[in-house]
Formats: sequence, C-alpha cells, structure tokens
Amino acid sequence: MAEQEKATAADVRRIIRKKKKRMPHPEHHGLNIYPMMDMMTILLVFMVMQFASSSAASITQNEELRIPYSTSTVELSENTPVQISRNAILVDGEQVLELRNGVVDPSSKQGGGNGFLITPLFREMQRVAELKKLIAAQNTRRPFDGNVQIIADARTPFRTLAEVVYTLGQSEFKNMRFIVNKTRSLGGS
Amino acid sequence: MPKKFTAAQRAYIKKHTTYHEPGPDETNDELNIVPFLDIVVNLIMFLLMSISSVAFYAQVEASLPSYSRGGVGSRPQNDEKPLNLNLTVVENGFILAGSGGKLAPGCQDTASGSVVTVPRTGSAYDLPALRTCASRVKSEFPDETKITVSADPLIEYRFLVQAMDAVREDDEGETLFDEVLLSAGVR
Repeated sequence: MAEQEKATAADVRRIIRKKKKRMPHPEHHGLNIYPMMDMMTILLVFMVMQFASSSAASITQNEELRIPYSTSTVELSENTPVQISRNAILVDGEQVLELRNGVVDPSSKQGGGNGFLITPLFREMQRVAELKKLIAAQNTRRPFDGNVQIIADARTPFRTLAEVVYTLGQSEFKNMRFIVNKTRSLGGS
Repeated sequence: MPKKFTAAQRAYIKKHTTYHEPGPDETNDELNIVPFLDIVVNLIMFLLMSISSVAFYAQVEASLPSYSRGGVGSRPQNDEKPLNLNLTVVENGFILAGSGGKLAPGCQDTASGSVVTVPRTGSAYDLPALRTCASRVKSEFPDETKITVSADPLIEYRFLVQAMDAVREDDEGETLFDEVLLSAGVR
C-alpha cells in the first residue's frame, strides 16, 4: 500500500476555501427604508408648517355652526376670526356672549332691543384693535388694516349679522371677510 | 489520491470553517425604525385630510360704506350721476334700486311703491333672474363695480351670500358688481 502524500499549506487553504463555499452566507434581508423615512420626515415637516399657517384649520362645522355655500374663489387670508354660531359669538376662539337661536339678547345691546351696538363684542373688539395697533407700531410690516374674518352660521338672521357688522365697524374693523364653503353652482350646496 | 493532514492542519481547517450564528452585536442592523415610520405615515394621513378640508373654504369680501363729508371741493366734476346700486333681500324676492328709483320686474323700467324686482319663485329665490338683471344694469353702467347689499331682519345669512354671488359675476365669469358694501342698517 502506497504511503499517503502529506498535505501542504496550499492544500489546507484550498480545503478551507472549499468548505467556506458550502457554508450558509449571512443574508442582508429587508428593504432599506432610510431614504423613505427621510422623505416622510420632510413631508411631515412641510405639512405641519402648512397646517400651522392655515387660519381655517380651526373651523369646525357642527349643528350649531353650518357655513353657507358660495361660488367665490377668493383664497382665505389670515385675520381676526369672529364666529357667529346659533348659540354664541366667539372672538379668536373665546366666547364673548351667548345667543338664543342666533339672536342677541337685548340686555347685551346699547339701547336695548332697538340697539345695534353689542356691548361685550364692542369691548372685546376694541381690545383686539388696540393690540393690533400696538403690533403695527412695533412692526411696520404688519399694519392695522381693519380686516376681520366672519365665520357665521348660514341660518343667522340678518338683524344679528347687521348688529355684529355695525359693532365691528364701530371698533374700526371695516373690512369683512365672510368664510364660506366653496361650491360651483349658484345657490348650490 | 487524498492527502494526509496532520492534527495541527485539521485543527486549523476546523477553526476557520466552523459556522456560528452572528450575534445581535455582530449583525449590520441598527435601530428598528419601523414603528417610527408607522407613526409618521399616520401623521401624514391625518395632516393630508385636514389640509384638504381647508381647501374647501373660500371668502367673500365686503366692506362697510364710508361716508365722506360734502362740500364744494369734494363734488365730482362731471355731470354723471352715480348709480348707487342697492340690493335688498326681502321675504318675497330681491329689490334692485339705483339713484333713479327701484327697478320694476323685468329690469327695464323703474317703478314706485312696494315693488320687488326679482320675485321669489316658489320656495326658492330666483338667482339666475337676479344675475340677468344685474348683467343688464352693468351693460348700462359698465364702469360701476359697487353695490350696497342689505336685507330684511329675518332673512337668513345664506340668502345674502347667494345674492352677493349672483351679482358678483355673470354666467361667463365676467365681473359685474364685485365691490360689496354691506349696509348694517335694516329696513
């Protein structure tokens, strides 16, 4: 019987390479989601900023506040919001006075039932006007323009609207921006 | 013919070819960001829905009439009388009036007394007829853009908005009377 030949270092290396080829390779499974996450984060930041700058984000329609429909296409601008629902008038989200079915109580008006000036609203709007003028004095890029945003319920009687508009006019807010739902057809909903 | 390996060579081969499962610290994986991604996707959905609802709103602009003091210097130089177009929403229709008087139904002539220019048809206001009437007035006074809008005390705000829509532009999108002055006084 012939004697076996001794293995050299090269044989050892060859054997190692051969065995390694048969070994299972550790798999890099799963999709690389880092670029997707980057995109998502950028989208999120963009949307949060847009959401924060949108003045209409706080309009919530419910049974007490149903905004009318209009064919107007004028984009919303940022102004002090005055909300007239069926049961209250709110300035900048704070309730100023209560309404009964959209009607102002005569005791809240100067001159009673025939009066037009709603005293609590007048006081609040004067305060807002003074604040806006103070800001305008400090920052020339934000002048006091007398603009006000009116978010009123579609069923509000004109008498109440006239009283609110008159009171706003007395508080130096002369430009009304009525917020409406967009519709394409005249008189549509 | 197979070669003969020494004990040292066999040990060396075994050492370099033994497979072991990589531990958590040896793998290439980093922080698990999948839950974070879930939150971000949900937030984006919520914000998208909120922003799309904002797109459904618009605004209607109106101002209060400004009263200037009279005087010789402030009078207009030309002899043309201002139109002073007024639109009043009443229970049974729309009344259009100018400095010449109230417009009669049909919008051709003026009339006196309690006349309604565009009567209500059934339960609904006749908005197309009001638009036609406003177009006719505009063709007579092409430079006029102002209109003073008012209503009866019990008229709902939505009818006021509809009336403003009808006189703002015609069916072709041409501007009629887009400068709305809101009269705070009621009849």
